[in-house]
Amino acid sequence: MQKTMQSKCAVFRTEKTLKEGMKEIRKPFEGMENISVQDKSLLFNTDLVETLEFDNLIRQAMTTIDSAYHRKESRGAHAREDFKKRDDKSYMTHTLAWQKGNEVKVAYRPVHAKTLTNDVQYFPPKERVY
Amino acid sequence: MVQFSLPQNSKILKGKYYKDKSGSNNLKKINIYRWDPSKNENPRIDTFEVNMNECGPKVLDILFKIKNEIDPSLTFRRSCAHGVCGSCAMNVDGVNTLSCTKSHSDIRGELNIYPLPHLKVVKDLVGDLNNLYKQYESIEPWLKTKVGEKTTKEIKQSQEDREKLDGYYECILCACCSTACPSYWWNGDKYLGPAVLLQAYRWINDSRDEDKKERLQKVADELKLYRCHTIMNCTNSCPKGLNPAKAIGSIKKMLATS
Ligand code: SF4
Ligand code: SF4
Ligand code: FES
Repeated sequence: MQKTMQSKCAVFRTEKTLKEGMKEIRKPFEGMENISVQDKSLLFNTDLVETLEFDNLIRQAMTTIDSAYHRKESRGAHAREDFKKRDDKSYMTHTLAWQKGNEVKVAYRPVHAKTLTNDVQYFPPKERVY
Repeated sequence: MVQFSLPQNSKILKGKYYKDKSGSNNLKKINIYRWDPSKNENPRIDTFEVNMNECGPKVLDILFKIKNEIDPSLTFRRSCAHGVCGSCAMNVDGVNTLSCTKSHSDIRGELNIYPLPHLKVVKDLVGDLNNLYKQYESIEPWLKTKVGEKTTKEIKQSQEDREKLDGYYECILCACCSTACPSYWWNGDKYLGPAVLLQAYRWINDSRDEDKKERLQKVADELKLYRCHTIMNCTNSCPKGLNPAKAIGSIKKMLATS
């Protein structure tokens, strides 16, 4: 999981690495079927804790990599070398993802362009330039 | 002559021996203290043969390798793995240190890993630090000011005053020093120990703090402070290169001259 995420889904990513990563990351996920906790004790059971962490992380990894694949633009720490520009027309959105087994469904929800009170005005997000 | 012997249940027995399965020609024997509170057994020393050809440079890497590849029930604390959190402190080859910054290449032969000495063991390499944390709380490790209550402005500190905290603010409360201190071993319930006293000094010495007098009075106690006999074990063991003994000396000096 760690190796796949670091090599295929680092800050700088392309369609190619992401596609490979989407396939690779499913291997450790399938390994979940055979996972077991050898430490059976009830106190300071780091074996159990790490297993639960893995259960969470592997799902996060799958949704991360699938979402990154579908977002065909660059934004912040999502730097697609094949889509170098930020694309507000198509992607001023939050990504929503549902993971079920091997499948990850990706959808979008627009970013709110209003504040909750009238006391502060809305600041439209801008491209970051250095 | 009086003879002392350990209580039956604290005798350390020889534990399991895990033979290498990789067939590597570069093996190191790692002896690790094991104790599981849920089993009614004596502590034991397990020995693991570890393939050093495929192992990171730090003692913590060895522990990870054993946990990942040989025995997942091996229990130790760690978090940052870069010497900034203090959670991986243990006794490596007879010296208290951070396993994540300690390189294993300068240790020849077998490597012995124990929990920090003189702590109640929670499990394997994890020691119970509750007493130390309570003592830390007792010195009120936060900035106390009267001006601060009235103003919403930042309380500034000059560069020179800030420099006075160098060598003290870096302490990560790993407890290597306190658990290396013979005075703390014998009187750990009352004597604050080098880690907490160094922290106390850090606040006494902070130009912005207005509670200096009270702080000094609070630690000026036969047991809390003066159990330190300048044995210097603490300074020798600090993995961050700090000098708790000097901090304690400075507190004593301040008390003697105030
Ligand atoms: S003074 Fe050093 S050894 Fe002691 S707790 Fe702080 S960092 Fe650890
Ligand atoms: S100098 Fe003081 S605090 Fe440090 S080891 Fe010695 S007795 Fe303990
Ligand atoms: S793991 Fe944080 S100091 Fe070693």
